[in-house]
Amino acid sequence: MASDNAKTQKPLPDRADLDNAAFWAATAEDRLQVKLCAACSRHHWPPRLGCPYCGSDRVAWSAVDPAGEVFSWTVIYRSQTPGFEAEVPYAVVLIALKSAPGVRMVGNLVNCALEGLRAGLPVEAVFTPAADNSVKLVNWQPTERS
Amino acid sequence: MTVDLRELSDKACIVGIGQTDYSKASGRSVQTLALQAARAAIADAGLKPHDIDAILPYILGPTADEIASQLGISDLRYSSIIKMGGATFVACLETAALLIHNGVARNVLVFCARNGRSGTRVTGRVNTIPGQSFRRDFESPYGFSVPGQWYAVLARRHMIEFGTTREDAGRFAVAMRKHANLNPAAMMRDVPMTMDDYMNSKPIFEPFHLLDCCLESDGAGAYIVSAAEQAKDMPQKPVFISGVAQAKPTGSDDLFNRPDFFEIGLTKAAPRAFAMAGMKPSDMDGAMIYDCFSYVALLEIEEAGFCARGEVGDFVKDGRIELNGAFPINPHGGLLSEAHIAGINHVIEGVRQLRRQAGARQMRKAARLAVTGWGDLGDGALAVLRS
Repeated sequence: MASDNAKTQKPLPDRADLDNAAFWAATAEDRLQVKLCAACSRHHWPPRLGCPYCGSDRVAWSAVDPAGEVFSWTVIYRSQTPGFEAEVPYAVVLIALKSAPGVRMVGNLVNCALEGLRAGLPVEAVFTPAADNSVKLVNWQPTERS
Repeated sequence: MTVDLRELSDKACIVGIGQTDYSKASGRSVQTLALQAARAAIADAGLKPHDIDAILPYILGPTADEIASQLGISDLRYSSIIKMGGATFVACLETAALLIHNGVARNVLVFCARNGRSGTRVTGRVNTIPGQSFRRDFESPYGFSVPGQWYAVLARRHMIEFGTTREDAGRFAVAMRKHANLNPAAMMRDVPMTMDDYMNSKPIFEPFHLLDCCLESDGAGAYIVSAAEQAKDMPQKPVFISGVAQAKPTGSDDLFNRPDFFEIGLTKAAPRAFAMAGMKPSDMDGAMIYDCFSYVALLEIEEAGFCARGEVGDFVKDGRIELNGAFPINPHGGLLSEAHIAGINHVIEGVRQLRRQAGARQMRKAARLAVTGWGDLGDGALAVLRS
């Protein structure tokens, strides 16, 4: 259930979700975590309670370097998400994390012109407070201006 | 123990099809639409409603119970929801064939009814897609919340890796419109479209522009599956289910973290369906490809095996996929230009072509056709149908 925010109406994560709360506790401290399997040593995303590669239940949150590169993206001209109508066009990027091979995360591109988007663009995470300051979302900006 | 699916090949047939008109505003309830399509399919099969003993409804819309009650079916032996999104109506061919071959049912009704334009549009349907907590926590907060936006990211990557272009997708979309212009039931029957129209259409979820996107439609479709043994005595020329398979992609609750980024359900389902039929993709005379977005259809053409991955741009060139081309796709106009009835309209069109009842859009050669489905986060199904 999207919790509506009085200021923006944008959907927010459910920070009370028992399985994902630790992720938001970490972003509050500007840290990025994904799940790591102790049995096969592979990172995975999105966060599951069992390893999607080997099936082990020995999975736990693990801090990763919040850096990666643009793997793909879309530029949204017609938003169908409440609160985003006035922000079009905006880019949703799929980021391949450098330190966790195989992990690709969705976020918004920030501090970069849309024209600057390209595959392989090096990016770093920006921990962006939601409008009501209840949670920090993970967005991405270029690590080097090109 | 595994069952040899070859044993299931050609044991069941599609014996009846029915549909309503397709429109932006049906002015009728989904119950009314469902009953109209179901009655039409039952009549087409030469059956009476009480001959139906199994119903496979869609996850959204009227239930099996409601339709059975209103058709006077007093002994419904089997019903279940096959949850494959837009691949449901191809996957249901497998379920129906299994039910019939195993003696569970004799005549299976499959239907879809929706007021997808005047009623619940796409934003009201996404809550059946798997991985809802992932969508809620890790996607929607970034203004990323409907299938077209998700699939656009797949398409962009295909463009990056293989050089696929907007013109490639445009060739598909323009072909669909040409076909719809020959189809009196198509919503876009009177609306021509050129490549310039396509290229100039406004961006929606770039690289998707307006004319890459399917219609949203009101309407219903239905089909009946019966035993091949029984079908030979029924009024319509039977359409044999020679091969059919459904599959989930690896990690079917998330689109973006598959080890093979372009793997979809079809990647696994298509070889199984062709093996069951004892045929190859190159044996097909054409195909019905689930085209919720033009680029998605391109991905399916590759994963179904009609060309190698990365080569679909060449495949759709020179009119190959048009009605008079070497490999016609969607002579009805597809979801892009006929209507979005969740792909049951693709099964119906396959049957019409194989029966040679498709009028101005009849394929010259249509003895063996493939029908694909794509659902949710890349669920897939493929059926090989023959006359």
